[in-house]
Amino acid sequence: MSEYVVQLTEVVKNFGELRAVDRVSLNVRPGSFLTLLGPSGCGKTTTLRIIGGFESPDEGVVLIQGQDVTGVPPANRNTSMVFQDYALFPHMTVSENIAFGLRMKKIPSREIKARTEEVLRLVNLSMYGGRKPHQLSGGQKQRVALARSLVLQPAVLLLDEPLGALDAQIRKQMQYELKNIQQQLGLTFIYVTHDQEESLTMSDQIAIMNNGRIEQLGSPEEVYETPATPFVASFLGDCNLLEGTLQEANGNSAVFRHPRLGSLQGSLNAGADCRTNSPAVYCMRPENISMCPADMPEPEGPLLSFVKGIITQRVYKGVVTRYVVRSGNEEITAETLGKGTAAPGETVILTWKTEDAVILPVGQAMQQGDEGAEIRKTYTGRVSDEASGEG
Amino acid sequence: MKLRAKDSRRFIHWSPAVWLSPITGWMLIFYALPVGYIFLVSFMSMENYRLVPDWNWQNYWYILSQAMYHKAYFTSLWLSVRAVILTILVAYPLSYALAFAVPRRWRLILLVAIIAPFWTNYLVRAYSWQIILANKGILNYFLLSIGIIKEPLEILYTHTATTIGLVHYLLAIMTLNLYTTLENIDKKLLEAAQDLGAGPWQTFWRVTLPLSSGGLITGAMFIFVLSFADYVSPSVLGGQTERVFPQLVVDAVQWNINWPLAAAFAVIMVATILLVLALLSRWLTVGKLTEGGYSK
Repeated sequence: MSEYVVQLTEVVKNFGELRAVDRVSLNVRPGSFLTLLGPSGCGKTTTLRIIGGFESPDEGVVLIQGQDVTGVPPANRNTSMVFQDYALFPHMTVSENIAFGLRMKKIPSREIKARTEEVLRLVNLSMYGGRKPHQLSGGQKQRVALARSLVLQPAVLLLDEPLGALDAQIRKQMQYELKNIQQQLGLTFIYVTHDQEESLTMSDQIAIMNNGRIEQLGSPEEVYETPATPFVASFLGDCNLLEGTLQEANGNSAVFRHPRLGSLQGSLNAGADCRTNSPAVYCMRPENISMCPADMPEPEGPLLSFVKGIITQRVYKGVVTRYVVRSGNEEITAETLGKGTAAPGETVILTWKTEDAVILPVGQAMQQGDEGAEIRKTYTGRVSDEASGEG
Repeated sequence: MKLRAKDSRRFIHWSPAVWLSPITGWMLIFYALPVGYIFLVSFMSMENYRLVPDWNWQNYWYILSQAMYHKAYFTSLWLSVRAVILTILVAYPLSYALAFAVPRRWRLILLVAIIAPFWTNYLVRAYSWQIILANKGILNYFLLSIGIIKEPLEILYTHTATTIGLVHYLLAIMTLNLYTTLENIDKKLLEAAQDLGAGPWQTFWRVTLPLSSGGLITGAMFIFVLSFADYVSPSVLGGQTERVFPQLVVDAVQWNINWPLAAAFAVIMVATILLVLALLSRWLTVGKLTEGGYSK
């Protein structure tokens, strides 16, 4: 038996001219919760459907529990899919829906009954076995769909935006329920979502996908705190992205040069391309930036970076207050806890720890030609949109 | 409130009674009243070409006592049941292929090809079948010339010809009913069945077929009603030897000038149709549940 329950190697899937999945490799350990995260059209659902056997890859290999299942139909794979709109059989009762898979496996009816009841208890729907799907609420339907898959005890459970159709309140609750069940039973979940918050709260590992490729794979902390690409930085949470060049690199710290703001210190990911004078992006999260009035003494210390600017916008958001500060030709977003007192028009100093800012060389991406330019567009679009929006 | 103000400008705000009055009037004057009148006439008798309202069951007793009429009734019933079964057997595979196998851009062309005969007058079509099915017709000529048969097949003026005409006439209705139902089945349900271990046939028997039962039953209703009351195919293609119920109605009106008897035939036909519809709609509740249940 292999160390990994699911292994994808260099998987490619084309739909006509479009390359939906582009050389995706992925190893999933048993008992882990892996999320495929990305915007719509990034290839996450197609990747999931390839694992489930609903699509066959044009290139590459899919292993499940060490066995090559490329080209094996879904019925003969040890996977089970929880569909986005549940896909419950409307003409069957809840119990019949759950028993369906067991019946297909020709399991004795007494055992079917026992296992159906057991899994109904697990999802807290013991009283609902006799109901038809249309008599259930969205959350209940979701639990039936989950139970229908769980009862088969698959090696991997595939979940395709399972909470997408639920409203915010039930969604939160279901997130915890799903996570609980996954941990209690020690199951392997591969979960597709476009909701970054959902992925951060639930996953052990997040694979962030864009244009059919995995841009970064790591724990929630890793992908949030040390994004590998500007796309990852801007897709997960808010991030200020400044464009400039890499001036100097020393191991895991570096100096970034911005045409108007001058030199800024930041950290460098391990293994990053550190040729100086190549294009780079400077990323800092709004919550890591603190703000003080300009008449205060300028902050000092080798571990701090700062810029001066004028507040152009203040948005009160309850827990935090969000400021947009114009500095040079850039708009930098900063968040302060509670109800900030500074007002638009004031001159302020923005300060952040250099270790909280990440410098991402983008030279490599640029050299790949068109595709690199496209990635560049997706993240630079954000910055320039904000700048022009202020008018 | 804002939305209301907009709505009132966008729609005409009359009570439903106003909208429904044209159809209600039409149905009352041209349907309910004549049917009611026929029902009443069936309890009258005819003397010297005049209706006599003597309110009795004699027309019904007369029909019940005549073996010829029993035979015609069961011929009609059997023809209709056969038409229902045959249209299903032809239309289901066709609709299934249209909904699941045929590429989208070919579907419209095929659907038009199925519906196009419907634009030709039914009577004209029946006469065309005569040319094809006659003893010296195209079909026999073809089969004789390639040597499959030695003697011409006697198809025309039998109820085999009636059935061919009926099935051809009604196929489009069944196909459209089935195709829309099959097309509306969420493909995710079929994927789910597959994912849970069902093979193609199991998926069909346990998911696709039950979910298409709605279209199957409404289709069967249409086919039964239309073929049970059909006069064209039995007359033009079936000949006059084995008479069907609609022919008896015409006979009673045209040859016997016995309107009350014709009315009694008609009432029996309406009653039969209502009974069959009632039986079929019991199954329809299953189909209804599935459709209603599917919406989120």
